[in-house]
Amino acid sequence: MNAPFPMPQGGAIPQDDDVIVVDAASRHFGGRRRLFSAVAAPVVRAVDHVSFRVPRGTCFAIVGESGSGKSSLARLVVGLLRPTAGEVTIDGVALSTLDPVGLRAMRRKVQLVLQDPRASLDPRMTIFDTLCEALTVHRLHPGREARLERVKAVIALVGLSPAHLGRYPHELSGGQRQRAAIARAIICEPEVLVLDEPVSALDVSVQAQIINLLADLQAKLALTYLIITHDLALVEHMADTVGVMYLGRFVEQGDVEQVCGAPRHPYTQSLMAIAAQIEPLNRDQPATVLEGSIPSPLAIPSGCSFHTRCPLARRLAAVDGADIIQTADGRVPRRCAEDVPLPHAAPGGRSTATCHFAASPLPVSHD
Amino acid sequence: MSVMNTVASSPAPDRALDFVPKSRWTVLRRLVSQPKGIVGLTLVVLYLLLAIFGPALAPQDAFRQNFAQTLQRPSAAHWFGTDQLGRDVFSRILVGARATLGIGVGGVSFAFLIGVPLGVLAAWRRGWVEAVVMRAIDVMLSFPDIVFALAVVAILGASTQNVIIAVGVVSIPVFARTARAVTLSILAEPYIEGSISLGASPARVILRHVLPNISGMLMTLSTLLFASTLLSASGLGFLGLGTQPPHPEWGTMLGESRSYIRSHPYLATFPGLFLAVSALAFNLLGDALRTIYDPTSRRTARPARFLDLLRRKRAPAAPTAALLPPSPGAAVSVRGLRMAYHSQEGLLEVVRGVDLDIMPGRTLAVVGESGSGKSTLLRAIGTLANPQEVAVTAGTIEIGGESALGLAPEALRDLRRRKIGIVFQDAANALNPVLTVGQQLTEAVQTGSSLDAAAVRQRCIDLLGDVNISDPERRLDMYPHQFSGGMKQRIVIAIALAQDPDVLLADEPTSALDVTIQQQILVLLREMQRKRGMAILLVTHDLNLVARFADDVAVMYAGRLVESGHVATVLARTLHPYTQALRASAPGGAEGRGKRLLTIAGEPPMIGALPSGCAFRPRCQRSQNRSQCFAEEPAIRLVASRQVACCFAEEAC
Repeated sequence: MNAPFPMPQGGAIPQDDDVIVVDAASRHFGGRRRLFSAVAAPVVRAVDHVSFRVPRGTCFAIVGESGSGKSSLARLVVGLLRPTAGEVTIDGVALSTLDPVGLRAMRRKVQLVLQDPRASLDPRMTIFDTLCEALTVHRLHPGREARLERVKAVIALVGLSPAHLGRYPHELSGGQRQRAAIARAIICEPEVLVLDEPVSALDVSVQAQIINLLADLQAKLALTYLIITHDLALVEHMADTVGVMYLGRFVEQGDVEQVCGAPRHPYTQSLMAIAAQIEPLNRDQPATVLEGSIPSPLAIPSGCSFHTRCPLARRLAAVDGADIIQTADGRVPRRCAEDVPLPHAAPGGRSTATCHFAASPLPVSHD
Repeated sequence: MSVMNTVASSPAPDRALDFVPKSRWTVLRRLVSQPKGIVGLTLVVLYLLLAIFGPALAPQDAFRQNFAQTLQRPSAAHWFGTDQLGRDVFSRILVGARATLGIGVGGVSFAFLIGVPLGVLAAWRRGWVEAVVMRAIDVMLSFPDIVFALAVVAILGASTQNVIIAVGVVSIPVFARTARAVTLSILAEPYIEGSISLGASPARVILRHVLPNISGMLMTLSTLLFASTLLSASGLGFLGLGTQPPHPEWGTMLGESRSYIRSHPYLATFPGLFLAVSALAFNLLGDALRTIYDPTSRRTARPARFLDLLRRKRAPAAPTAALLPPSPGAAVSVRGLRMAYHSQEGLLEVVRGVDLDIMPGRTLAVVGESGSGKSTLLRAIGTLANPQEVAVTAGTIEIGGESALGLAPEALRDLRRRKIGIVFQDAANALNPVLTVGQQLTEAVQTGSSLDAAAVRQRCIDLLGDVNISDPERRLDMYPHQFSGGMKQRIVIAIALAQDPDVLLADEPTSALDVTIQQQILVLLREMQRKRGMAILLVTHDLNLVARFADDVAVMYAGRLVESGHVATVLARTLHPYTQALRASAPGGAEGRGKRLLTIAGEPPMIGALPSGCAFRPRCQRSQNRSQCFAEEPAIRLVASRQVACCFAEEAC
């Protein structure tokens, strides 16, 4: 915990302690001409030049809106997608060096837990069959008795009883299904769990049970977590480090205390401002809203991709004497619309924000 | 462990506490336990026996012609009569069973074995493989079946084997297309991704996950094609290319009997009967097998008995507590509302005595988990509850001073139009994709009004402007798919506001949206409320959203409002143990980092399987198994300026 956050720029030098190292990974879709089709499909930059590393036993959170590319990034780490550029290294092994068979064997180390346990378990298999499949695939615990033994041990670990093994997913409640999905993920003793919105499909009163279960398992099994969510309260509760994603890139990443406690990128600031509101809105005052919605990844804005919605750019443009240009989305500083921003490290180096104005203290406070 | 005490989560009877993997005879046992399984299996076995022993059982020579006895009626000597050449029809049916079933089963199997792998391959590989396979199949489909079959037979020569191939080839496109379509939809399921990420090989994913899940569909298709395969085989026979005369085959017999259908109808009856029953037999068996391999369909549905139907008519005797009069001036006033779902087991109470008022210009948030009855309550207030599914068994609902219960359909529509606007969770599905936004808004504006076209259009533009959509004139002519999720929800709100409703009902209006868009929509709703003075009923599961947005809050658990009052009062200090636990179990941000969350034991109760006494008792921290909690459903009382339903609410003050 609280491991110093390594800088994303510069060559990623894998350290012994890092389980996941993502080095300048990009994933683009489309761009190829299909058979019987005259024009090439447009290129979608789902993940663009993303770097981070996750030390063993810690939890890294990816936060973003739908369309930000966070799910594609998770699938790059699991190896379900191959990066168009860059490299993903799991436990010291670069995924690009593996053939399909090696990749499948590697998957034992990285397991995925999906959002909706109703959909993520095969409806035609009992919980026992589902759990056994993992063992069969990786040829672990051969023999009927040994397998039953292992299944029972794992089922107890996630708080289910052997009576649940003979049931089908639809015969379980939402919480029990998610426990079964977690059991399937840990039965092969993985190093990493990738948790894609692990509690958002569950009832509120059950969410806390699953969050606690995940924390217990992380401590007991020394697991490394990569959690994908839009719930900043969950991030602050579970994660050690966090990357805030917008249109395929990290706009801010670093220690959770730093990023969530003192956000430096205007997008993170907007997200935190909404999450922090637990007081009733004042009916007589305009509320803070982030205008517009996330642009299509087919047409990523030039310069800083956030400039079309950025409240900071609007405020800076209102200052006299600044170099301002007019865009379709209003007046913004020229740099925002034309130059791609570089990551700026925070004092102390525990987080970076990819904003032209992150280095300089904010000229206007945001209230 | 606390999670064990789930309530009625399993429709299956409780199995032994310890788990025993299933034996290999399970399938047969389950097959025989269903009526359709036993009938189907018996018939199929009989047909197989017929195919094997038919020729041996034939009482007469099926090939011997007897021109003295042509076209005889059924008699003791010829059970099914004789045909135009005086041959015994019964014997011919027995002898023809083998060829017929051989062609039917063989043709379908041939098509299945080639078509299904092609379809699955196309869906799995996508790209050029799919393009080539599907175009080839489209070309095949563009030829008439019989021409295709004729071509195959012409190339390979006429024999029973080649007829099987010919009629099989005809069915390949159907199998391939269907297999591709269902495989694509299965591949999109998260459990496929789950199993790939587990490290399963492509072969394993297809054999263990894709094929079982598409088998039901393919099984039904096979039984349908069985009959049509026999018919096209008989068509070939008719053209002299199928089973060669004098060898009997049911389809050919049926074809030959066509000439005599008026004068000698029995000639067609018997082969037709055997054909139809064979298709039925495979159909029943396929259906039964599908039920076995699809565990989700195995809920043994009890047929609704006549007595049950009678019983449904009568509502259960509701406690006739004196209801308070509705509040004067309230936009919505609900008193003593009880609602129940019709089900196999009778009526299941889902709303169990709800009183609430919403004053104009205020927002009431109803908070609850799945199954708490919150959405049913909202639908009842919106006069949208389907009386076939759910019945109001007691209580009153008044919208703007008018009763919303017991109205004729016409009056109900009128009330709904004038007073109620509704916004549902999923904006994407609330708009019709083939109509422009303008058409849908126009429909909402025009209903019950006498505005001319120009005025209607102006009103639509104003509405879009009201919900902060820029450039409304141009946007009117766009289709829903051209808008983002947040924009669509704004359009849905504009439609809901078209008739200036007194009350706006919003069922989880933002839970499908991103955080930043959520905030935009909430701020918009609040602005609309301020301008128009309407009442809002917001149904949600998110307490933080309630704190930011609502004036009043009502927490719903198992069909009752367990705690309700002003947001500031209730959330400042919650009194009901459920509300307290909900507040405490949410991750609290930075302060709680790394600490364990407080949890609520167990899971929300299922409708119709509530514990005795207080519905929250099994999960309650405060109850400590005190006898009062078992004895009675706690009354709703006024404690510390809010309504609360807990016997020991004062302990939290």
